[in-house]
Amino acid sequence: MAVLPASAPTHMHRRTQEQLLQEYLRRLENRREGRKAVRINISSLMPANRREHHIRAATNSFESLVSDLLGQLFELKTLDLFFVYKSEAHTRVEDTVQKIKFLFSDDPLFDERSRSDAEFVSWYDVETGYDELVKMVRDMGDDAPSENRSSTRSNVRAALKARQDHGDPLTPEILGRAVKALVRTDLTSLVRRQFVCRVSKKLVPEPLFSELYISIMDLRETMMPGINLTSNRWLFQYLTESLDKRVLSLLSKTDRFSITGDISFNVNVSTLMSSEFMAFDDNISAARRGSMVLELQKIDIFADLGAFLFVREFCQEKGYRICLDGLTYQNLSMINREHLGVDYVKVMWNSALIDGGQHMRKVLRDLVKEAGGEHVILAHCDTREAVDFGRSVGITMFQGHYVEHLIAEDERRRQLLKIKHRIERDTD
Amino acid sequence: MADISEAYPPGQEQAAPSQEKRLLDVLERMRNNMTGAFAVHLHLSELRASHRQPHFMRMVGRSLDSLAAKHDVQVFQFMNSDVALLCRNSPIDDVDDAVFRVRALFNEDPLTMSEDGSAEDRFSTWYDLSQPKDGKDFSAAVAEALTYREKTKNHPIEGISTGRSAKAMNGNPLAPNMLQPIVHKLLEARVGDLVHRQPAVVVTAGKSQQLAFREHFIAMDELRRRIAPQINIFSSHWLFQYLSETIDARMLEVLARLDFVNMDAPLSVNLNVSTIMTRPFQNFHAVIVENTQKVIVEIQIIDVFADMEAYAEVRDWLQEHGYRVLIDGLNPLTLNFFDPASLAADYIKIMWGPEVRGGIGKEPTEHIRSVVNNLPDGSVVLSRVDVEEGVSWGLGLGIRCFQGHFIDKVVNAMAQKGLIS
Repeated sequence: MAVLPASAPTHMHRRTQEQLLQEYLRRLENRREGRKAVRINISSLMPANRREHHIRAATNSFESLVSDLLGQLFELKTLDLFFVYKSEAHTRVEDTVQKIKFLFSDDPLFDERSRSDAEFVSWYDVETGYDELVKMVRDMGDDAPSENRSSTRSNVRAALKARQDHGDPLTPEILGRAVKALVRTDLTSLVRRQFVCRVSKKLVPEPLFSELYISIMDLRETMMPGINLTSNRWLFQYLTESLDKRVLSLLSKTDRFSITGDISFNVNVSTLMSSEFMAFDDNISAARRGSMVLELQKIDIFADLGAFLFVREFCQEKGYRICLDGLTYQNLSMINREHLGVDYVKVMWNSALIDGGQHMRKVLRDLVKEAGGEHVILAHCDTREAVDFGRSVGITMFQGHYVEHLIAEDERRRQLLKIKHRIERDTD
Repeated sequence: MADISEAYPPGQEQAAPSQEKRLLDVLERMRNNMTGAFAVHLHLSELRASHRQPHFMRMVGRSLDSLAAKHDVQVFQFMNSDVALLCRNSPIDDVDDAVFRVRALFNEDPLTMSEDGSAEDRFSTWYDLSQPKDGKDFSAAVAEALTYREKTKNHPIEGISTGRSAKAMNGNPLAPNMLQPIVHKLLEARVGDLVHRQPAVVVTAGKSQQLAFREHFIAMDELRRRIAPQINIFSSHWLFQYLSETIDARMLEVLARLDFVNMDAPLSVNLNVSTIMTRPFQNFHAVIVENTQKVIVEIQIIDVFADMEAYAEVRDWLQEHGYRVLIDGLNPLTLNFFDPASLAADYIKIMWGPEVRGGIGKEPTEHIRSVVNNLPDGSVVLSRVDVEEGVSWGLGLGIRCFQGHFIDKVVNAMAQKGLIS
């Protein structure tokens, strides 16, 4: 039973997964026999382990069950997964859950065997525990979705920050070792991808390009556990110059690293002037350059504006697009995108923007208008609130966890539609 | 200049003939058949020094690669940074496009501000080599470049000392593992004698001058000679910034010993935003707490951009405690890209440079006027004023505070007359 009500598709992406789950359970009221459910409490893991790709992997591992019409998966805003299934699939579900546990097995939660099972996985019998289940799900849905989401988010951030604060600061010695080690380390597994999308009024995402980046958290876990890489801005900035070169070499080896569509990646101005970039540029076709967006940090371009203007001209002439990354809205009010000649500016979402009220909205709307709505990207969008706010001030392009979520949901919706059509065809 | 050899195209051995010599040889061989031949001389030697660095020149070479690959065009890069294109029967439009592309790279350089293709175009000269006179002129120009090369072989050119341009300095590039020993030396070395002062004066209506403040700074070249003579501490912008945090602490120690009570004019000092919240600054604050109005904290614009929130916090703290805040590191070029009024600093310091020497009335100058008008009266400081022209230029735009070698002379003269202590 994987198909959602026929009326759902066009609306479902507007509703929360909690609401959908609630609705789904209600429909099961008279057909609850032989159904079970399982909840995977991703939220009980250490924040650092709730990595997007692991969660994606966890979600994907339910895919075959879903396509075999044995169950339905819901991703809750706490990042927890909720799977409702036919009891005949129980063994398969158990296997899947075991696989997911394995994905996160380095989390301290699994240090104590007895504790972990109960905290990480909760099993339910829909048939016997129906009312209880409905109540639990209703409680989840009652929470104001955005608030709850952003509070978990800020908890995550606070936890991360606390951990960072307790990590050892990056020292010159460690930096020296890290830079040397970077040359030998295969970073392929640390490359993450996040899409920049145009998001329509109906919250349908249309990917424009994807940013490839090295997860600094994962890099730290892999190479320098316990070290706070960002504790010193200048040393970190130096480290990024080494990272740039590794990313360039990864991108050159397309056989090991297949990338589709337009992409963007972070580089320093100094990297664009290096022989490594020249070699990279030599190895890619003119057409490929047109599909690449180079993301530069504001701190880097203002460190030497003359050098920036030079490389910008050089790269744009070759067909690359340039994005100025890491802006706050205050920065946006200070710079002139057109004068700088960059194709995009990326502004970081911050929930404080909403606290600024109507005045802030108006200021931003004017700023976005001045920069050109089709040139502004709102990044770090972790909530729907961010996208709604961005749209209300004229921004059309978005990036962030919420956008990733929209993409996943959109994909699933398409899949469901396909299955639904197939069933309709079969039953006709 | 450490790596001027990079001006050679890769693969060329020291012993091989220079590009200038090679071009002269080719011209000599072509002498009897100049049909369809022409040359373009790009006067990149007239670019600002910061634009003439080897990595810029390397990229110029690359942007001409595709032209050379498609047509019968040879590219020669001279020691003085000039570039010559030697073409035969190549479509003028294609060559022109390539020249234009190079020109566009230096859009912000005063050299490219002359009208493209006009009589007074200072960027490029075209030679029709089938005309004997043009041929002779071109050879003469190349010969001149060759003379330059031979001359500089014996007298290496002096480096430039600001921003990333300083990469041209001698010594091994700074690497992370060198930082800790340098920091140790920095902490132990005597720095008091390396602290220099440079006055800024306010010029008022009757052209009388008054001391505005004295900037205190450590001469970096001297400091480098003392703590790391073999290392080019400016080779990495980021690693130098890291060192500057320790330099700040030492500077504050020196300043705390000054007699603030009897100081006739405020002092200014360049500090990192991050320094303000550290113990060395708080120690300094404890010593001078009665005299904070005599201290102007200069903050680099890059530091402001790095973290606006941190800057705002520090600015507010300083201003609340009686300090004044000055934003340093701006030049007429940066002013084109953002408006400093929003920084709410007490002073903005703009470096006077060759790019604005064109005189009042030109568009970039007009833009500066509007920026100055937008700021509170007297809050703009024009620095690096080395000739009187800078003062009149600034006054014409409503700037009243000046700093630079020319001002140093003025202040010395005033001191001799007993007008200033």
